[in-house]
Amino acid sequence: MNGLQFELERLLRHPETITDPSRERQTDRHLFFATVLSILVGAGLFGMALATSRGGLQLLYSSIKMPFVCLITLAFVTPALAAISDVFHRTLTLANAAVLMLTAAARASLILLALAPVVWLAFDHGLSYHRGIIVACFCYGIAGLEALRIIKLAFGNSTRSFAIIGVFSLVLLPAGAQTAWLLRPYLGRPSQTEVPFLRGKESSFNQSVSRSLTSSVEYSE
Amino acid sequence: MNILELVALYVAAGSISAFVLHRKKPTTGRAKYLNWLLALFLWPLWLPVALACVETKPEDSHPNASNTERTLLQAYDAVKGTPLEKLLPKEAVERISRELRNVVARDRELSQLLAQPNFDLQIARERVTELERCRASTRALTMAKRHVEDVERLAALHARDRQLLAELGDWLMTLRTQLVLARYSASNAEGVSDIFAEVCSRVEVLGSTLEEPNLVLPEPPTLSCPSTFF
Repeated sequence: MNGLQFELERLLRHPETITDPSRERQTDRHLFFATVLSILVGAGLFGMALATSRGGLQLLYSSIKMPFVCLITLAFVTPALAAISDVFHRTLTLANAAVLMLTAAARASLILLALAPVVWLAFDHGLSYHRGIIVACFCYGIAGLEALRIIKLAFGNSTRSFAIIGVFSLVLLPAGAQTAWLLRPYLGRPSQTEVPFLRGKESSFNQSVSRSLTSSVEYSE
Repeated sequence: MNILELVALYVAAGSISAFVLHRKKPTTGRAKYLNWLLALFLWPLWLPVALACVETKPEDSHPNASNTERTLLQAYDAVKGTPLEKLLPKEAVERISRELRNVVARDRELSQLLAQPNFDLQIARERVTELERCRASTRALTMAKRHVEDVERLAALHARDRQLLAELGDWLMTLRTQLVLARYSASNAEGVSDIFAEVCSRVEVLGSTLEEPNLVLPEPPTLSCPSTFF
């Protein structure tokens, strides 16, 4: 338990020591548990705060699905980070890539945890469904910036590092967006009478974005 | 490929991961189930971390010792039962080990203490500046300044311990190498005594501040409360 507490404290206070490649590897096991715990609690409670607009079963579903989106995305993209780093001659072992991504996701989840009461308050004051989605996106953006900061800490400020992060973003963003898309809804549409665990597949994230863009252009004309 | 097939494939890969991990590092009890569960469902993340932990774990004959103490014990292991043992006697090793454990415990305690916001030097100094700016009472200012001095002394003590421990670690490493070399190559072990003397002097410095100080506590003030308070 002490090891877990130590790693949680390190995650909160000194994340830069985690991204140091020369760190003690024996503690990675505790670090793994600490990061997964942070993701489960942070993202889970944020999901729950989002679902307060709908309430009922949606609270449970969102609190389960939100951490899963994070972990499933990490599982898909972590090997890609190791491979991309290798291509750019910055050797990053798979274990280090996993630790780095988990740390970044854990910090992002902690940011979401901090923002959860604000979102909750907003919904409690009658924030509408569509505005709620925009607020949620804004929160993801802030959390994403923290994750990016952690990744940048690990790679440094060289041009090569920016290239690695840039190329990796091309993998992470679509993978994360599509995973989140598959596991929606998180807020629950007010018009729906029943709360589904997963919505029907309908289309992909890309198709949905292009359809929304087209309709918004037509609407403005 | 539909989603069910994909999940089946993922879990199948997870089962293989769990099996590989179990072969590499057999565990029992709750840890075993946790390992299986993580390997089954989070294998792309858990497997590299768990395997890296297994691969980097050294063969450790002194699992509860700190790095410095471990070096000392390994040095003793190297000469135990040989004529060279008289250069590093068991009693001396036990004494140094005891001192090192005390120092490591103190180092841990000081690290935890200095990590607290109340013992942050920057915050303490800002507090003094703030009190000076607000023209606070002399008593409050004196207390704040004394706190800054105490924190500075604690930080200096901590830094000195760290430096001495690092130096001691280097000397012990050299001692171990010399002893192993003397044992296997029958080379001259003359330097060993000098190194051992260096180690002992550093341990003495570290231990000197650990001895119980002769504290002279002031008499507590006697408060006479009016009986109407009760």
